[in-house]
Amino acid sequence: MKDNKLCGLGFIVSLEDADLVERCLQGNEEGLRSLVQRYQGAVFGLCFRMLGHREDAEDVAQDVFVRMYRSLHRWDSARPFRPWLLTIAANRCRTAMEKRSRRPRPTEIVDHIAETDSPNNELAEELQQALGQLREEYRECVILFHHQELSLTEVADILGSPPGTVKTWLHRARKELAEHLQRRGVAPHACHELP
Amino acid sequence: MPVMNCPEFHSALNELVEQHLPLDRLGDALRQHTDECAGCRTHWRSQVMLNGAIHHWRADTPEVDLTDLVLSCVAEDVDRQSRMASVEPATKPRRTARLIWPMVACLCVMCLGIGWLVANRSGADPNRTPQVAEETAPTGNETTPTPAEPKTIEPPGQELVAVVDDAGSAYQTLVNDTTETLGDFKLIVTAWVPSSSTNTDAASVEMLPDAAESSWLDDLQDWEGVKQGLVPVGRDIRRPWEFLREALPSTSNLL
Repeated sequence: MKDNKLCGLGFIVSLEDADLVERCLQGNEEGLRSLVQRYQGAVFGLCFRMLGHREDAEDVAQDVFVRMYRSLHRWDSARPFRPWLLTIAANRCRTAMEKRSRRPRPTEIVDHIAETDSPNNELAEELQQALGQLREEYRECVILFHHQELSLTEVADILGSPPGTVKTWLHRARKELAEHLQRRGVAPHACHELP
Repeated sequence: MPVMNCPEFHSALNELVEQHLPLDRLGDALRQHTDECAGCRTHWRSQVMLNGAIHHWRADTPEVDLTDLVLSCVAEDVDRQSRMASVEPATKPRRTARLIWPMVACLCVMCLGIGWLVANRSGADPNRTPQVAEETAPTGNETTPTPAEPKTIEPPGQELVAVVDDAGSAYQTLVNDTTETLGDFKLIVTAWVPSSSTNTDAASVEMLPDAAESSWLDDLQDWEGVKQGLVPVGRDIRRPWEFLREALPSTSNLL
């Protein structure tokens, strides 16, 4: 039911996206500016959560938008724009992680969270650490599904895997994350449900 | 109220997760199962806790404004590409020159092929015209036939004779070719295999196909070395050979 609603909403949004893309293809700078403003949060959020490092995430997000601009003519306007863009972002993040794995890096933990010591931030940091210990496909699956709030089908499209496999990855990842939080002593009463 | 078992509870909980629905507001059946089953209650609480952590984790993502940075990067990229595009034309003529000769060759081959087809078609037209006229003639409903039609239609007897002639000459050619081939084969076999009979090698080579009759195969069968390999071949050749020998005089008489 919710998928249908999302699909309908995606269709409306994609009409506007198509207009912006058309403007970009005509060389209109304002079209590109609007497109970047609309999706920079999603793209940067995905990069930030996959890479766990702010500067790296900014660099990769920039690269994603440049590549998006180069490939705009290949976007199929019949399909929603956001998953297409997030596919580019996920691929660039994977490439960045491969490059990073070849050169040692001293600090990779999210470095902006330590500014405040509120319990919620600690919880977020715990979860980010737990994500870092997951298998790569589990991590990507959780980030795309929970952070980007995509449907399982969209996640499957982005990861290039069958929806059934993605569903299994998601539940296994959630199980491992929950176990990690329990091991770390995160009190259930401190948490509240998703809105 | 339906009673729910543990697998059904887990499945229902997973469905809620997959549809991005909250886990803390369970339906009656799910709620009743968590009241009754301690293990499922623990699992449900851990999942609720995880969803709460995910909520804070998602809200904790920093915000950035990359717009100007991205626009400048894109502008640089466009400049770089336009510069590369301006350099490319210097190298293009070489590529095109490299491609010209194969294309010209292909074009020539195509022209030759088309010319050959056109020539064959124009050569075949005169033969096709009578056939068309023949097909249209027997309709019988036409009250005023055109005066040109009778001239193009050949009498059926002549047509038949022409067809028989063609078939006869084709058959004669086939017989001649086959006879020649078999004669060559026989000469080769007799030259290669030393005969066990009284004939010498030279005599075997000079022996004509008609004179040889069928004895050469019989002789060949007596020879030990190659016999085993050539007997089936000889048997296979003998049948058409004898058939042709019988058929040839009758065909000659017919023609």
